[in-house]
Amino acid sequence: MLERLEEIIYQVTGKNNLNLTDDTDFVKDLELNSFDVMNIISALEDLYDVDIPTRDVWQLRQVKDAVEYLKAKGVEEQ
Amino acid sequence: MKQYPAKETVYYDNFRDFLNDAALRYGESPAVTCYNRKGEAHTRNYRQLKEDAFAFGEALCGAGLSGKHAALISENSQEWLTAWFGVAASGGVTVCIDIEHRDETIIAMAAQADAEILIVSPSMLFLGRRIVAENSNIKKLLVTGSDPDGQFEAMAQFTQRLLEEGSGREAMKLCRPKKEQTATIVYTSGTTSTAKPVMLSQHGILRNAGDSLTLLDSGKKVFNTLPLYHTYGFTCGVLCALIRGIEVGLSCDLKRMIQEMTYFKPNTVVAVPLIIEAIHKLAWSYIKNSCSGDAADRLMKLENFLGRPNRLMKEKVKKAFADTCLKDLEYILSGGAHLSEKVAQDLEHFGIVVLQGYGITECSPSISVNRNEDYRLDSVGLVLPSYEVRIVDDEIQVRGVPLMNGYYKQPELTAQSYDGEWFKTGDLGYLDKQGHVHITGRKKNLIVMKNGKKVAVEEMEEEMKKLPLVKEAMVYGAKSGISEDDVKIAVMVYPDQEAAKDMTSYEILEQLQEYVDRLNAQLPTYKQIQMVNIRDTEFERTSSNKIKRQLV
Repeated sequence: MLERLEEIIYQVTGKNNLNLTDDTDFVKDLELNSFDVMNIISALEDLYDVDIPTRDVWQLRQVKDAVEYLKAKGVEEQ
Repeated sequence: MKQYPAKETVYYDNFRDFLNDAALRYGESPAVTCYNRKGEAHTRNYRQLKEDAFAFGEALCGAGLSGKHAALISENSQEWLTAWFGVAASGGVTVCIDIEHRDETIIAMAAQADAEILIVSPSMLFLGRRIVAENSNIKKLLVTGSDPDGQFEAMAQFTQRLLEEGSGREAMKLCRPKKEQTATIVYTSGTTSTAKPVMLSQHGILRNAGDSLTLLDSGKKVFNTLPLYHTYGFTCGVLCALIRGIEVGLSCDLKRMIQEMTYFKPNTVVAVPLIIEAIHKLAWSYIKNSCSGDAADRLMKLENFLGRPNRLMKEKVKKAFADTCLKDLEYILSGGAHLSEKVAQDLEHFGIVVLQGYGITECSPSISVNRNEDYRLDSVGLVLPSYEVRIVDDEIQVRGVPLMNGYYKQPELTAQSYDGEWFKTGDLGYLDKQGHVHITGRKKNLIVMKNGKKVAVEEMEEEMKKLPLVKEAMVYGAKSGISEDDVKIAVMVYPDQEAAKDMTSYEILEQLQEYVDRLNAQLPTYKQIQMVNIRDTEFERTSSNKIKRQLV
């Protein structure tokens, strides 16, 4: 899932070689703004066909939050 | 100085008159369009807009709920507008709540504003259930969409049921809204301790929207990117357009805004600097895909030399923007925070004019806006016809009809915010000879983020001082980009010397960071502290014992 996430972040922001870990923070470490985070989550919604309400997006601060959130929605790690 | 005639507008006393008249004038023309995730458009015309609102208003009257306070806890949607207009047309008060707040804050806001009806979206239903359980004042909870458990009634079903019972129509005739009565309570930014419940009147909001139209021309299609629970989104992004019979594209999912815009192809976009910068970035990427960035740069420089933006680039831009969301875009209305002039200048070269405006919730919200014919990128525009502006000790003060009815149940706070009839905005600025308003700073200690959100620093500092290790704390916006509002929230701490006596700087920082992480977990993202610093001397203070912030 990390690789897919890295690819999505690249597509949305043009940033690559991010070496994502579970603890990577989207805002603090990757210096993304709230608009970038929204676009990334939107891409995850499409990729995994899940609905992520806007308000939940603010809870997804680190990579592990996003991964756990998706798992709770029934998305299996591939 | 060239004189421009005021553009055509219409003023209404209340929302019932507005809905009736708009339906008569524009009838079958499209009023509001939203898109679902598949990109399918859902459009209501002006007749339906009125019918939806009146049906809901009648249902409220029929259920004995007319004139009550209804808290709207929802993302943007058609039903949000139906609920708002329906409550206003039947003489009630909508309490507009920012869903980015923490659960506890929303619960407190609904209670403080005496809400008796809750209207929640499916994603906020969990919180609606909690409020019903904890707040005995709530008489009815309605869900936009539907409740999967079937416990609470859907708004559409409630409306249908009450219309069939038929008792609401006569009751609605009796509860005609008066023009001065409060139509909505909107919270300003902050938590319950600092967020102020602003009461705005029926004719105040309508007058403010009507006034903006005397200066603005926004083409045939307007796209609102902002949440409706902020007055900027509701009044400027939706109501202005509806008064003129223009079609509004309503962004219902921030995550898909660009797709929604691509389907809608607006002539005008209403936005905050954060979104305008994203549009600017997108525009550049389209141009670079279509021709080389260097060529575009050269042409822009030449246009600057000639003083004719979009003269030489016109054809290139047209080709680059074909079939994109920017294809028909002519204007962007910017408000909520300061926009970098460079971004506005670039967009001008691309044929997109940024019209900056200025306002605050208490003013319904617009105070000034730039006119299409003589706009200036370094000013927030001309004062609206119903307002007078005076400058006292550099502070902008405002007088006029659209001002708020006061802060709900807080007469002292209301009195403090006025000097006689003049409302003290807390913003510093001046008027130039042509009557253009310029903002130079803020009297209040607020950090204004690019998305228009405001963070009250004292409130955050109080939170920091709860940690025994912290003797003094100063929260500030640390610059993190080019524009003035491109800031991240930082805190500078002077540790308590006693509590920190056996600790190394590293240990102090580590403990502070741990506390900040816990604090951040309770805060919406935009308010989170991104940087912690310590200092080894106390802060310098003014004679009134306030930290000299500018020295840090």
